[in-house]
Amino acid sequence: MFDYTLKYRTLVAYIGGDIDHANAPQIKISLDNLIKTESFDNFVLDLSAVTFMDSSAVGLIMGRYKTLKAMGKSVSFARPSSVADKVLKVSGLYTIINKI
Amino acid sequence: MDTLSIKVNALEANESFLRSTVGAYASRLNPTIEIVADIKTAVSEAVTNSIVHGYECDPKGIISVNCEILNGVLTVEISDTGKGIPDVEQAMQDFYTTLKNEERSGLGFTIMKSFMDSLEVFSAPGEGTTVKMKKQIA
Repeated sequence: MFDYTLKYRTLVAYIGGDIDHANAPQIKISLDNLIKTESFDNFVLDLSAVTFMDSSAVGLIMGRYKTLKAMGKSVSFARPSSVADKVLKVSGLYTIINKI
Repeated sequence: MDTLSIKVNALEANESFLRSTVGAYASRLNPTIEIVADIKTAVSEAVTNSIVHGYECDPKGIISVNCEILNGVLTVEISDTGKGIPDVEQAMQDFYTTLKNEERSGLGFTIMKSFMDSLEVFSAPGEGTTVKMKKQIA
């Protein structure tokens, strides 16, 4: 699942379902296209519909975070599901990306 | 006796198949949803390691999964006969990865360790890798 909204220069990307090594490449393409084509200042990754994620998703998020930071954008997480929240905690991603 | 044995090819599609199957197997003892989610995540990490590192995405490789439930404890062993790990201690360090250009996080073993009660890794170059994990589920 992939969707987005853009309002007041805040781009919210919604990724959901299972995020693993098998489908991370497709999500990466969708996110990179979005980042490339839209005009925004703040990037929010909404993880409320994530039903499963593992370290492949962490690699995917870290990669996009580096790109967005290099572009001078702010990055944050919104509404992580309980499974996403636990993986984000263990991976230490909350130390670099805020949850709003 | 309560055991489960599966052999599959090292296909990406088997990542979700194996984690769901082991999760379903563990569910017979009615563990919490969180425990099942933890098991699925750990299994997914081990299977992905076998596919990506052990067999370098060659689907001819065979992944074996052996599970047992004994006294409320689930034991899961995930084995491959792939290229093996030269230095297991180094591979288990947080953020260590041999595939820096592919956006691997280097957190597979960290997550297995955190999400299960115990983790042991047996490996030798050219012989393959076995990951053995345990978790109290009832």
